[in-house]
Amino acid sequence: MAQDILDEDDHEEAGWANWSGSISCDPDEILEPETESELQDIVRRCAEEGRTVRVAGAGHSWTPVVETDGVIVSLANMTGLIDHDADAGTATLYAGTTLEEAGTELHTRGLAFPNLGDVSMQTVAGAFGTGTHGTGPEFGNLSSVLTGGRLVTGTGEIREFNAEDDPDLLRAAKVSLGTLGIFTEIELDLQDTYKVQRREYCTNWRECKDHIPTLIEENRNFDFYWYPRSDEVKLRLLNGPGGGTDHADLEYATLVKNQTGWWQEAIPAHDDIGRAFDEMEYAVAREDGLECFEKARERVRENWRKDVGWRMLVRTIAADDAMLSTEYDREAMSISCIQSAELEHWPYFTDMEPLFREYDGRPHWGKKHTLRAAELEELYPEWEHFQEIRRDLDPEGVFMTDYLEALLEDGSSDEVVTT
Amino acid sequence: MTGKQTWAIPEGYIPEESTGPEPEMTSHETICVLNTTDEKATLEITIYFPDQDPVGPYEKTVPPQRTRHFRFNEFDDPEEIPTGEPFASVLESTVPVVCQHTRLDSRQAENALLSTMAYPAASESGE
Repeated sequence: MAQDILDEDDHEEAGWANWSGSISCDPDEILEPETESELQDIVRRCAEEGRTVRVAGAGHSWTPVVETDGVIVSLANMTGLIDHDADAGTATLYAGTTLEEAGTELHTRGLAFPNLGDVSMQTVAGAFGTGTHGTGPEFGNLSSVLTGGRLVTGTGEIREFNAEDDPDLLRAAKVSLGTLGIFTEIELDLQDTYKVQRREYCTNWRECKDHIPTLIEENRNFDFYWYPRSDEVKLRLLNGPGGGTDHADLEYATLVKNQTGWWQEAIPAHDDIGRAFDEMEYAVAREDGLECFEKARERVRENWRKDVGWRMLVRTIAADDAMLSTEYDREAMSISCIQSAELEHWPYFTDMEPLFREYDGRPHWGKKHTLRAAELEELYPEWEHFQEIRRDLDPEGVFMTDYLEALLEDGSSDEVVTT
Repeated sequence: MTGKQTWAIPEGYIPEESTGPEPEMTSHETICVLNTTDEKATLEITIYFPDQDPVGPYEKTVPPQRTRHFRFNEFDDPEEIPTGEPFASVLESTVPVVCQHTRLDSRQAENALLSTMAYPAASESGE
């Protein structure tokens, strides 16, 4: 029972670490409530005792969004499909459901997410909360399909939300880092299930750079990896079977993969999951993206080839209206810097970050960056509106940590120590 | 079967700079592995440094009756090999193979290419 778990004599020391191992903490407890009412009880008790509660998904973020010495709540026992309407293209999931589980459940009922990211290990709520996205100029980040749901607020109350009754709360909730409350149920606007053909081509930057804008336009989902050590490039084209750029128009590249499968299997590329890495990603305005990437490529070649062999990833994302979305009110191109988890990442990332800042880049909320509230509020026109909603739902700051205070309330990048 | 199951390359160095179009002329270090057997060769390559612990194993495969050239520049799992620093490597294979070591050094436009046999360190002898 949750009320017993929080007794003072019954605290178990439990460690928590993110997927790459670069973030770890020792919370008093890691709790796994089985019901919404248990979760309410945990939040209420923590609020009364002045303790912090953070909700953890799959731990696939590289920022300390979960880190706390208080209580970490996992929704591992609150998973699965609650209901769906195949004709209307809607479904409701428990918030702890992973994208992979959701994919299986939805596909068998003829439904699908319009898009996914590169991996599907994240929980749906965690992926939404950090602004996880895939690629494709027609597709917003994953939270774009969120139409409503239920969350436990900082006072332990249940708050239902939807676009009709409270559109601003929905726009705040879509990307909210678990600071408005802990989602328990999420309602989704989906589409019919579909098949995807994945083609991957190897080439090099010299050969392909002039073709990138066309590839973005001609394909449902297009992105590319650039390899610093060799200047080689992998082009990834995902389309309905037979669609997208004609193979004959890719004579400058070598086809290395050609597979067709259902969306939930074909879109995520799971080959990286066994290879831990750390990542920084900035989203810039799409029209500036390739120019920014060219400069980033030059900076890596100039400064980082000695130490960095892992690739950079370039993707496109549609604009949306979520208050803290990195694609808020602008079509975006995201540029990711990736470094092996075994090696130092901050010297590389902090050298690259000012370049992305020159282009008014917005850092991915779940990936490494040094920005804090003073810099972030300049990037988000509805910043203060979001904070008002957050303070209203969590008046005592039960979901706030020192990191989140600095990130959302009063921090500056001058205070960030990256060593 | 031709070859040995353990090979050593005491000399290793990836030049930091390159001249000419990339990736063709990127300064690089390669281990060329010939597998004449009827079985897949699973390779484990360990990298040694002057002043830090070894890194690896880097796992590679060579299909039966095939050759594969692996550029050390592109090794990244578990981690990248730094350029501009000396290193050495030991390769262990599940079947006898033959290994050769090649470096392209294009720091100057007048490129240098060197190649030498790796040292067959295994006591087992192939036929």
